[in-house]
Amino acid sequence: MLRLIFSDLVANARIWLGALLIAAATATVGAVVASDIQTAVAAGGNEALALYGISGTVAVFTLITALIVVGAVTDLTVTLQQRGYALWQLVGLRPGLVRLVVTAQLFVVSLLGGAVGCLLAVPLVQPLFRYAFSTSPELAGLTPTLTPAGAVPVVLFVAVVVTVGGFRGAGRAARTPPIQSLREVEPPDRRMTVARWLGGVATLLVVAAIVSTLPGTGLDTMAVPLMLISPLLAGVLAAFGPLFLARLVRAWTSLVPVTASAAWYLARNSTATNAARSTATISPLMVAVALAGGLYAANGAVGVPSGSLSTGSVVLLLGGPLLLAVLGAVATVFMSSRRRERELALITAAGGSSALVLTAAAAEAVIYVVTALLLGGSAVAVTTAIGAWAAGAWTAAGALPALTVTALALVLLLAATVLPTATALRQEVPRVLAPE
Amino acid sequence: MDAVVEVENLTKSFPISKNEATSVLRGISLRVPPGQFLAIVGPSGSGKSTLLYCMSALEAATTGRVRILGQDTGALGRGALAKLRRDQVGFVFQSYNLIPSLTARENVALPARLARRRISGADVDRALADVGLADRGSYRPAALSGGQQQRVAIARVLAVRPDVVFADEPTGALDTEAGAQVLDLLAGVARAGEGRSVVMVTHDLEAAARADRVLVLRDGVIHRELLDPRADDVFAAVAGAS
Repeated sequence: MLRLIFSDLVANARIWLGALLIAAATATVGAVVASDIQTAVAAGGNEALALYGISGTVAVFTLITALIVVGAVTDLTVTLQQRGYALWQLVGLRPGLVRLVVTAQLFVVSLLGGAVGCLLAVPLVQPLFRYAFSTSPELAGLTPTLTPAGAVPVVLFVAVVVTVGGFRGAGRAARTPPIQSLREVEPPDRRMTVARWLGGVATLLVVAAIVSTLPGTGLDTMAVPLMLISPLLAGVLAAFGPLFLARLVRAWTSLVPVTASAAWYLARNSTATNAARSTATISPLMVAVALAGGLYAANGAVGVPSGSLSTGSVVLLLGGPLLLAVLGAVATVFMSSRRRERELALITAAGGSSALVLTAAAAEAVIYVVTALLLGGSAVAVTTAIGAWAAGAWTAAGALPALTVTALALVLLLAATVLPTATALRQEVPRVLAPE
Repeated sequence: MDAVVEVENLTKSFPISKNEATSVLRGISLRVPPGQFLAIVGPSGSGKSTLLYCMSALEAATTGRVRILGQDTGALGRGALAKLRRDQVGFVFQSYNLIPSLTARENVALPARLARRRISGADVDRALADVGLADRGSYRPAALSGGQQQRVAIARVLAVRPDVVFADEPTGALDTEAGAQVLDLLAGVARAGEGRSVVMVTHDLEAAARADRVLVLRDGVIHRELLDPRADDVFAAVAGAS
């Protein structure tokens, strides 16, 4: 059994490296938050109160981002290996054992990633703390600490989120008849589950509760609850994604006529049909857009000019979650690049030129990013509208940060789709199409 | 033109370490005339799939020359090779022939779309009807059986009407009945009297016996050549090569 777990981890290194990276990134971001809380506990007094407040907001941002990103990445990790799990069953592994092995693999990777992430955070916490609180002399004077007491809960959190996030996928791997898994490249769609309904409705209720408290809140304290609305709405959209994501992609991409570009046509079909891949990439990007736009929209609504938010504050509040979200999106593209390469090799065999193949890969990145902008942007727009209702002032402050994050994400995703494709183009088609 | 494909003294080696290479094809020469159904057989590791990929310009030869319709594939740039594949060559692989995100109808129309050629819905439907899948046009590959997927791949070839079709173990993953259907369709391409040739690699010796000409490969060289063979002749030739 142990041999199976580890040999499979090695054989699918590309997929598991993506999962490991995200587990490590989540742990690094979590460890920075844990360090702030530990520092607050050690400091006591007013400094502690200030740090608790800030850490609480960062922790909520991190939690929402981690749940969406890690859930998406973990589910993709299992989905991409469905064929391998089917082969396990064909050689005699019981479905229950398949589920156990998959869960054990996720647990091993999450523990390893969690530990590595916390170790990476150790040299980072001090310079980050100094940078983030450079405008606050009282807090800048504190010495940040990160001890095992702070790191262990972070590792456990990562392990639980990754393992639970993949539990459903592991169950699907065990339940799906092996022949069906062997025939389907990946499950054709994502269906709504009870957990998705419950998660989505519960998050929507939290948003409603926050909104209901706003009318009685002063402008000086309204920014924090208001800035939570956008990422929470992103969470709602991620939960209900299976209901509309493929249709949304098909709808807006149809603005480019199918006869206009073969590359666009291929990318459009691939993105809309491969719901698992697309959801895993679009959801983290959507959170990134919602986080950045939501922070500025909330502050704009209560009259804080965008320019007055120090870079240190923005990095402190959004740096970790944004990094995690963007890394999550890039990791999902990297993890599924083998599938993309096979599809594009078929297009090469059918007479598609290198330029067409590269353009199709780039078009896929564009479709992911624009879809994320539409969804994340709608969360920012709703935050703006709620802010206008509660604070009485309309603001467009969320637009520029949302677009900036989108542009950055586009550059990274273009690199993540086009570079592996360019490398794959150097290989002979038969090598790329060879059985896995 | 007296040959659709011409191969001259073709060699292919693969590196196995920094200083070592293993030779898979060793000086093969052959010609495929228009309208011929050619089968390539041989023991595992004899180099038959590598020969097919080099003949179809999916893989570069180490030395030697391959000409498709008179064009030296080694001298063509990537763009010209893509155009050659688009316009004159069709492929049927053992599996994973179709783009999973496209329906059967869209897969059949794909080469025309890549070439920015107009292909009517009626042409696509006719190609699907020719392979007995008129009612499966809206299905995605995952919803089709292995044999049906192979037939869609052949429908794609029929719709493009290439000068030469390369098929790598097209019946390898199919049951006897589905395999026979696929072979009938491939033979039909070559025998339609339109000068189109089919080059097929197979380990199924009865399937090979359906071809006009059979090449038996051993250790990267042509060991025997049979014309209009019976299945027994192919069995005997391969047994002699093993």
